[in-house]
Amino acid sequence: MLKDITLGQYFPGNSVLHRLDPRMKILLMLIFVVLVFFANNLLSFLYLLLLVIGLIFLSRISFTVVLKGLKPILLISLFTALINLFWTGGEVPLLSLGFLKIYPEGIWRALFMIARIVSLVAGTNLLLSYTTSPMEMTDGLERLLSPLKKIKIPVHEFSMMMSLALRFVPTLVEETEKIINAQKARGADFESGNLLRRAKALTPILIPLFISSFSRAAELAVAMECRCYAGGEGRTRMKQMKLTLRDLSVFLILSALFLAIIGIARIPFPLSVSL
Amino acid sequence: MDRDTIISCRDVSFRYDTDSGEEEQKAVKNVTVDIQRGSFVVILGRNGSGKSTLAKLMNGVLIPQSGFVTVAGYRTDEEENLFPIRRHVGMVFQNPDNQLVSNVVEEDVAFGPENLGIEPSEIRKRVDRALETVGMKAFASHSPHKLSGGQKQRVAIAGILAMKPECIIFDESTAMLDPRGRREIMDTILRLNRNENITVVLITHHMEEAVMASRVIVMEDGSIVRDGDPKTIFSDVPFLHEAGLDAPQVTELIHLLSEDPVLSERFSFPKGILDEEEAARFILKLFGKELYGRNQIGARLV
Repeated sequence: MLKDITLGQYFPGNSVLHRLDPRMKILLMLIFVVLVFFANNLLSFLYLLLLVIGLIFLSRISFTVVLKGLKPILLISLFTALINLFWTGGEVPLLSLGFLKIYPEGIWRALFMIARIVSLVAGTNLLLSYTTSPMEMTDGLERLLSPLKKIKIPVHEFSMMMSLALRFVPTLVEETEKIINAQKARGADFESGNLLRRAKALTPILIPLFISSFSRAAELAVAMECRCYAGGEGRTRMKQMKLTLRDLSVFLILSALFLAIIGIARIPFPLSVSL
Repeated sequence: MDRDTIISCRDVSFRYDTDSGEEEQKAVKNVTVDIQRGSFVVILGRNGSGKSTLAKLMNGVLIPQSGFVTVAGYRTDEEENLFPIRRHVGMVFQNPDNQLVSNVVEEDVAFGPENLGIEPSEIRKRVDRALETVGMKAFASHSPHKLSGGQKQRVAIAGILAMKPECIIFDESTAMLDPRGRREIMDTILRLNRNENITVVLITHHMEEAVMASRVIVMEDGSIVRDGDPKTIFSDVPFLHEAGLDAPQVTELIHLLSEDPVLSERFSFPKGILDEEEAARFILKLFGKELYGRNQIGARLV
């Protein structure tokens, strides 16, 4: 079950998005995240979904991978949708079950909410995590934020920590599975009982996981020191980052396409909900 | 210190701190040893014999409390020497997962040279060459977590190779691998030692690996108890057992045969047979007097 987690995972490839400069990708992601919140009517949400599908094609990542990446947010989007479904007021109720009334506005709002969360997660995954190796990502972030070094913010250390965290996601997932199996073999029960009991049952998983993570971290630190790591100063990079004309044009085209949402959101459309 | 010595330990002792504050037994006691350039040294010993601690003292991961260690002329107890020391002596650890820093094989290999501040084009060359040497070129853009244990460990070796060290210490680097992974790593190590002239210090408890070395050091309770070529070390099977070690399987077999009163009276048993073919010849000599003519394999071997 844990193997399915693809959040924060890189899929090597050679697509347009893979080759795009990581700094541009980070900026594009920021633009995308902000603009998702501008979508407010059916037309703009359809456009948003179109954009996500477009990104899938640009990244050559398979649909199933993208869908799997959405699994972790399934619960949260359903929850948000349900709340919006029941708590949105309107004029003519479509259905009324005692005190619960469902209005057509509520249905739309719920759908829009799902579309918003899905495109938010899928979009950022496609723009960044799936198509950018952690090293590239941290390099990009480090260069984007490098002006902050002047005011003594440890930008390099921060980005190193981030990339190591990402590198260890699959390792720790594997480890968690091993621990779960080991505890199950000793008769631990993770599936029955109420929520509190099940939460308590997690303790024998979490404690070994924490302990082993600490010893892993200690070993990794020694291994990194043995490879002469001493922070960001005096480090060079194998892959030099150079902004090419291609990077710039891809960036401009994509951000123009993203920005179009603002325009589309202004078109009066019958199915618009103020969110 | 002569120029042929890369690592030299002089009267080195080390003791781990305990949380409770009580005095822990010394992990390494008054060890004096020199590692020659280009040699292939195996350090053997049971768990807790101090072999891993000695390895960590050899490249400045641990600093001795008394005595001193020099690597290529640099003393490990001087902070500013650590960088040059680690350029000369790389270390490959037991768990490959805990020494890989990147999600992409070639970026991981580049980590060391990047830390050294080497020119990007030169890093590229080194990475390609290192991956080729360990036979992992085809996996350059793969993610390490999808590789087998042996492959991951080869990537870790490449990461050290790209720093162009003179010596590599393998701290039980084969302990977590399956037999196939172990063979992969041993082949790689032998190749590095013979073709690239890299000094190898291998910490292990697999005797079959020790057979290939040019020198075997046996440790017990923090001290060096034997030091010599594999043939001499393994010829003394009772001593190995006392030190909590096994001899290689064939050596063990010949030793058991030699303990047989009837056989030992009739034949003189050679000491330190390490090689399967050698053992097969000898066994045929024992039993094969009548087999000579009739058995083809026997005839070919004897």
